[in-house]
Amino acid sequence: MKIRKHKPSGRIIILGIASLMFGGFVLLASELSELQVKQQDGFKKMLRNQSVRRVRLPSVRGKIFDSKGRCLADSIPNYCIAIYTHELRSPRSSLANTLELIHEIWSKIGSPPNIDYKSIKQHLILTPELPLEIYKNLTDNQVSRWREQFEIWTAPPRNSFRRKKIAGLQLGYPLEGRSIFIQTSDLLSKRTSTAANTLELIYEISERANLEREVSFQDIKDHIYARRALPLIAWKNLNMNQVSRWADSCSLLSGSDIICLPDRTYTNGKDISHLIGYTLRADSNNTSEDYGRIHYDLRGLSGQKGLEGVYNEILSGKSGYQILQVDAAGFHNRELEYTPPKAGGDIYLTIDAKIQEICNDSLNLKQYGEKQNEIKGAAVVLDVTNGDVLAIVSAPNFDPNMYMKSSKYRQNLMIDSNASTFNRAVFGQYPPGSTFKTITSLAALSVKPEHDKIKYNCQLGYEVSGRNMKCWTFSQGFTLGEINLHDALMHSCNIYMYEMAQDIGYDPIVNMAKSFGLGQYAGLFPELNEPNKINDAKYGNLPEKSKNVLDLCNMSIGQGELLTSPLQMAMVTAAIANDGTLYRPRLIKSFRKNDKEKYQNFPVRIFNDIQVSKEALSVVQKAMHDVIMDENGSGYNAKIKGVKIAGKTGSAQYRKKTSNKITDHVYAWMISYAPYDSPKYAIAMVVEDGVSGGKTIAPRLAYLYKKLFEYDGTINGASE
Amino acid sequence: MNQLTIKKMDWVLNIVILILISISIIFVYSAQFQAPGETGSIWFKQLIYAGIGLVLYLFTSWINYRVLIRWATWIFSFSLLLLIIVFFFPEVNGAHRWISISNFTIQPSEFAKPAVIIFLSAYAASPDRDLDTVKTFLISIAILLIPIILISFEPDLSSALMLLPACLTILLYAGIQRRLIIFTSSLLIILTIITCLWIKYEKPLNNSDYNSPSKILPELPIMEKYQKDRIRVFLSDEYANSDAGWNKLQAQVAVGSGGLRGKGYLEGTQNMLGFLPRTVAPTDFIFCVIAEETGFTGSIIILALYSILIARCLRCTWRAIDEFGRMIALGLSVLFFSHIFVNIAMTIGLLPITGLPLPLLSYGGSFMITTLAALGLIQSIYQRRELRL
Repeated sequence: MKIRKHKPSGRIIILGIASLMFGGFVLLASELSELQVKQQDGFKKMLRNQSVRRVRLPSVRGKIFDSKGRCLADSIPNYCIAIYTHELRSPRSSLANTLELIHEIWSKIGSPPNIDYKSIKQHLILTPELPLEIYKNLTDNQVSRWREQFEIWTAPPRNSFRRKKIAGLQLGYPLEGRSIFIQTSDLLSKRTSTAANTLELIYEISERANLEREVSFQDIKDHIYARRALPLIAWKNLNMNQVSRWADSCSLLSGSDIICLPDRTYTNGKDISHLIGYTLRADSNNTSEDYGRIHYDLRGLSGQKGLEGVYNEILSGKSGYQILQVDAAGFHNRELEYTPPKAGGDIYLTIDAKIQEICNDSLNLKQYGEKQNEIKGAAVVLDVTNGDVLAIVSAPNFDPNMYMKSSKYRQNLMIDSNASTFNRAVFGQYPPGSTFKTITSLAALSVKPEHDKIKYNCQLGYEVSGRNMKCWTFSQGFTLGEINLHDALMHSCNIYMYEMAQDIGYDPIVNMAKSFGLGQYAGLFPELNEPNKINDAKYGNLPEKSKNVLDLCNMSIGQGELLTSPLQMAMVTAAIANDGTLYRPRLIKSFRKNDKEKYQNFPVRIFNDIQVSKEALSVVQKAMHDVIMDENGSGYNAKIKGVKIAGKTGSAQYRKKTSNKITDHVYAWMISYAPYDSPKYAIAMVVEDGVSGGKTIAPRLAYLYKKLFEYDGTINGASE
Repeated sequence: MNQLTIKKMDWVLNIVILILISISIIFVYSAQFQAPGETGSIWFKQLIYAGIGLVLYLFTSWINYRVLIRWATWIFSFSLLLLIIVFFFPEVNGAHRWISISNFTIQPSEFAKPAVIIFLSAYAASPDRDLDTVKTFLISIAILLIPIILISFEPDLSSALMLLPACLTILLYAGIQRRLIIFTSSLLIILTIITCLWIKYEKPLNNSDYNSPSKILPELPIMEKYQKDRIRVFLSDEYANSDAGWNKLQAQVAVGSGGLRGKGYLEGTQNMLGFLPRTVAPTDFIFCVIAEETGFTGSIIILALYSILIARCLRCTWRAIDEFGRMIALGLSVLFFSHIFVNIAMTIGLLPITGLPLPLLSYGGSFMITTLAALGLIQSIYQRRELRL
């Protein structure tokens, strides 16, 4: 036996091991300091990225009022039922599993099952061990579809030959006869998914509060897939009845709540649809500074057309933000930060909703001999004294409330050949026709004041450079003979205008038209901060040069290339009525940028002080007076009792080419102001496909003036 | 002679153990704070395990460790028996690691570790052992390899590998064929490196996600897929966002985002929001929870406590009265150290993710009880030290 040797080096080994361990601890400590001290910011950022979600919240849009404080565009609460999916993650019941399976089968077959929620519930309570028949009497089509889908559903996964088992369905028997059975006993112990729990809750609310389900199972799955940090909106646009039913029956159910989303409604929507415009759900705004930092954008409303579109920035307010913490599965955990949205600013318009309504009624008043079902046209009422827009109407109109709600309505409007959403009053381009004769006359009188006295002969066979020119009277079988300017305007004689235009030349007419603002931007939608900044785009069409004398003659009677909008003609009328001051149309009376600020008044702005003599104006004003007040005047039909009205008719002819024939049409015009002695209202109205200004527009104007003066108290409606 | 002398006990060790156990219970509570119910209040269970462990600690401190020379064979055979029995119990999460008797589950591999150390020490310290023969060497290696093979077949490779450094240290200290042992160790290290690199470039057969031109080597038939994934994740960043890389990434984010001061008790978002997988947060990833909530300050305190613990164990080794005691104390010190080092290193990305618990801190009955019993053994050795006069 060997004597055991003493190993003296043992102690060295202990020391060696000890120093190795010490080294190990030092290594750990230095790595920890690297991680927790030096790199901590990087890790904190990673942590934030994975556990924090920013949500943009919509703000309440500002309101739009008329001059009397009637609300034209209002923000109202849209009551919704929200489902908080993060509260529905724990396993719940076999009912959820059953509903999920039924919905899966439903999505495969494509038609709803022959069983309702109540009987499913009953089955699960009373006889869960028996199979449940969910489809009966399937058609051949459905049977083959189901067989095919079942094969795809249970197809073996890659690298396996065993078909997938689906809990609740028997692999061998997808069908029994023409029925589908599910084995509810299989579903008792299965863990439920969040989507299934959500589905069950929605069914439960649907039953208790008697609400039709609005979201599909696919919607739920999509929501949980993509937006699980947010509540799922299961019902929208609830009325108070439904809300109270929910509160009575479901408020104790966990995981659901009533929330309010801002919504928009338009009182008198149809009357003023073109001017106010409408709102739609905003697109996710990728251009803002938030781009990339927002995880969920609860989109608010964004103004699309009209005032809603132009002043969207002021009306829409500021979005709020919510910073949410989510857990590892991505569900809502708690709220870290909340910045409430700021409500938008409000706008008072110069529009009077009552006048707007009257104006709309009168425009849509059907006159004798009008064939078309829908009247196309426009009317503008301005305040002569300051350019305030009192009414601005375009026909046909549309319902902005419907427009926002129904996409079908929107689609129909898009293919509508009448262009119902087009604001004809502001953007319509019409030849002014004989209403332009007022400007021609003023131009002539400015250049040659004695034109007042000059007479021309209205005769058949009048020729300009070899072309036979007509007066409208010829078709009626008479001529006017020797007439002066006053009579020419009153009867709207063309020949007189041709003669006069050839006498004075082209430039004075164009200059006069220009000084009345034609061919220029009217400035209806100014920037609120800089009232004097006018977007310098050309508006309408004012031909600067004439090629020949025919152009000159056409110009003199407002035909040819000259195009104006009803708004511009109303401005012209107002300028004639107030002896030569052309105001910019003022639409915004006052505004504020948010609901904490005071209202700021928007100033009255003068477009141009027209250089035209008082005498010249009075000649035209007198003629316009007689157009309506004289029984031979072309606009005699517009006359009403009690108020003196001045005006000028116009019938601009144009040719329309349809597929196989060329038809002649008339834009029936009238410009008018009243009362004659102290002008208050200036009106321009146009109707497409009319007969003539005197026949189409004048009766409408009579109705308009009657209602208008009754409304403002000038005449008493009851005494008539 | 069995006795417990209060004056002779290592009170620093006692206090460090008590502090670590308290920290454990506090942070196990934090780790399961958001997910109670399924596992019950595990902090309370941990308290009970710690209680049982402390009783055992006093018991093993009380007995004279030298009786273990006689019991060593029985202890070793019993632990081998348990390691075989475990294969007859049903799989949990794809592994035979647990023996469950009614409500209790026992993890035999945890008991096997100190048992092997005791048996190997008893074998090597036997006065009639001829340390220079190859036979002794081969028998020692056999004692070492049988449990390692059994455990790695469960499979629990990391637990099995933990035995290697402890046992090799004992053999090295005993002086059994030192050159051969150093040679074998180096060979093992080189083999490990080659295997890891092989796995990095190996071409997976049926997983198209991981296909890339650099993967050309045929598949090795030696490890489970999840084990290979952990090594791949460790060796390259390309898996950092895959499922396999999730734990590694989240553990690092938890530790790193703790910063200098930490987020505060029960405020750790990684832990509370479940980014640290809830099932492993109180067990293998308890250090992440502590590091996240107490920051660098807290992690350094933990490291300091462990340093003191290991230092006291080594001090006991130094002053043990005989070779047997010295070998046990040395082996256990190395065992504790390797658990601590590997666990913390894996949470900060220095080593691949493994399922190793942190002594005295991680939730788990078997490990807590064995650790405390083993520490009691060290206390028992220390009490019977050479007294310096």
